[in-house]
Amino acid sequence: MSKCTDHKIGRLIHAYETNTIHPDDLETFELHLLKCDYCFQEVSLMTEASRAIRHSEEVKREALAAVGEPKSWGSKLIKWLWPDTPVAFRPALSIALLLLMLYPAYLGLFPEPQEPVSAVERLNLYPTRSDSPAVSSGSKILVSFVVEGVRSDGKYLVEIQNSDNQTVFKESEFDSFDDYETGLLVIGKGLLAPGTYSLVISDAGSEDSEILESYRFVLLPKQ
Amino acid sequence: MDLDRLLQRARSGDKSAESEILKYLSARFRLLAERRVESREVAEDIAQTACVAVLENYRTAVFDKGFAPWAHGILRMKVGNYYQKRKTLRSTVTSGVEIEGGSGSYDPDPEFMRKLIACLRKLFRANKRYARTLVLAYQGYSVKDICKKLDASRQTHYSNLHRARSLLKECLEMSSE
Repeated sequence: MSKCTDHKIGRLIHAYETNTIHPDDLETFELHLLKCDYCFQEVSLMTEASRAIRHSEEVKREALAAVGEPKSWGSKLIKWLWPDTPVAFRPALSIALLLLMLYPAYLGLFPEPQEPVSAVERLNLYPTRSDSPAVSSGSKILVSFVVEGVRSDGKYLVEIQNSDNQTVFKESEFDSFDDYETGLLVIGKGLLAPGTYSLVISDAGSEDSEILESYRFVLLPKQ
Repeated sequence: MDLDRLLQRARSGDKSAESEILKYLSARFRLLAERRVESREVAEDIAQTACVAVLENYRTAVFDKGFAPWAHGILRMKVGNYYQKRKTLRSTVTSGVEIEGGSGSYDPDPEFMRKLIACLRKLFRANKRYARTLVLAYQGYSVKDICKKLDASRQTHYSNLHRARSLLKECLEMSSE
């Protein structure tokens, strides 16, 4: 077989076969093919291979695998969300901003569930000569009681006893006294049945648990 | 083969020269058309039509840039006509009509494909740039973009491909023996 008539143009042969030839050079090479027997024979010999390289899906897969192109959907998704473009144009950023803007609207449509507001009865116990105060048993009770001589940093034993002197509520390290010797205690709804009770406050630190104060109160049936 | 000398003989009435030109152009036109239309049957038709047009006109035509560019122009025109015709068919036919050669079906010989894949694997391992060039071409990048991405000039790109082709050809020849 003779040699190529123009080596400079003859070098375009595989670019032509693989369809990676610049449009400006395509006509030049095709004209060369019309004149050059060597290149014509070469292209004819590799026709099958070049067709396969251009069109075969199998060859495409092999080439992709050879350069380590991502195959999994996850990798493709990441590449799509975070492509090699300026940060401002990356889809992931736009999606994040969009979600951020939609969140207030979502909260408006589907508000977070909140605990229903329930009534609280207040029971004030002071060291005065009076009748036992009474509250309804159907709500949460906030008991406010005064004990003379207690320290705001001390720990005390607080008990609630029923009419049979049985302890129904006990807090052994009660330390919620303020500077005005007033303690606050919350009794949950339905914890105590209607009846008469005693609130007994003792000094937890003393050996014989000296009773500092005792109050009586009445829980009335739920209205 | 000297095409211009053949042309002179044919123009002066030498029938054997004319048939030689026909044979010469027919093979080349088929090769060029095959690359443009992807179907061998259609390429054959286009090559034949272009050859007939060349034979009908070569005696009277004036070649500004020579016979080869003129003949090449006729082939390109025939390919263009084919696509124009196909486009018209596509726009007028609503459905159910298979346009000849339009599918670009490709049915390679499995044994040849096995050899080719094996050779390409070797080549891809030896020359990653070759694989990357093909991948970028498959992904639809233009030659300009491929050169930019691979940081190579157009001439370097052609040289790389030319070297890769030599290796591929050598491997295919060895595996055929």
